Amino acid sequence: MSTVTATPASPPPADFPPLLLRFVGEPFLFANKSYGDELVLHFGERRLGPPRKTRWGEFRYEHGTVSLHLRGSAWAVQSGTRATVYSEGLMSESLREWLEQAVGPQPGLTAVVSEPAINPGARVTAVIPFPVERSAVTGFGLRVDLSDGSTIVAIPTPDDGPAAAPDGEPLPPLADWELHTPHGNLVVGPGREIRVAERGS
Amino acid sequence: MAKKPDLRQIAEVARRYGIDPDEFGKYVEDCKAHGDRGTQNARGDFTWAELCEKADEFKGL
Repeated sequence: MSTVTATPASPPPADFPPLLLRFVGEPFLFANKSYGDELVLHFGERRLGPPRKTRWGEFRYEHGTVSLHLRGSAWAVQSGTRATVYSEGLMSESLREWLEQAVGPQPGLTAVVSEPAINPGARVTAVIPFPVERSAVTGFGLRVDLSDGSTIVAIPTPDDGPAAAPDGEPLPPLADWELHTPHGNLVVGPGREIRVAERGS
Repeated sequence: MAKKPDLRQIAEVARRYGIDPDEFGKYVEDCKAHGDRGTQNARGDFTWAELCEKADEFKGL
């Protein structure tokens, strides 16, 4: 299946770059947490960066040839291997605290990177960007379906506006999500911005 | 959910130091996991100055 479509139907789907189609068929490798509590999902072939000797041991950047960075989005991962939905940012902190008091800890970032939420080797079967318009948010969400029955959903959250470094230089805007591939990086958001950047830029 | 100000800061520091933002982001997270933590808050996040020190350190590894 190589679906690239948008739902709900209104407003009309954007003309997403063909780079997104190349995601279909890639095998899932693993998920990790990057600085700033960002969820990154790795696909394709496993790669190791150069070994770096640190004060706490060797560091090597392990990654896939394709990676999905959920940046500023709220997200959910519906596991195809267990009856669990992992999520972050889909409800207010206070509601989450109430829920956790009532029924116990809710699976989020820590759990999704430490548990086998998605079967390694499960392949992407559909990639579905969809327009999101709600209070203070206009952008594109993303749904990714995998062959083990898992689904990843990213939903943009409100842009936090201009910000500056201590020297006054503006900080770059934060994308809602990015797909990094050997052929370039698809950068989506904030807002309706869609661009393809050189890898590493 | 991701902390947007932290992501924007680390992206800008990586750009200024000419280092790969994905690798640097994972490196800084691993530093925290190994007890090499920043002083921005109780979670051990890093201030801007500390992120710049981390970038210097990373380039020297």
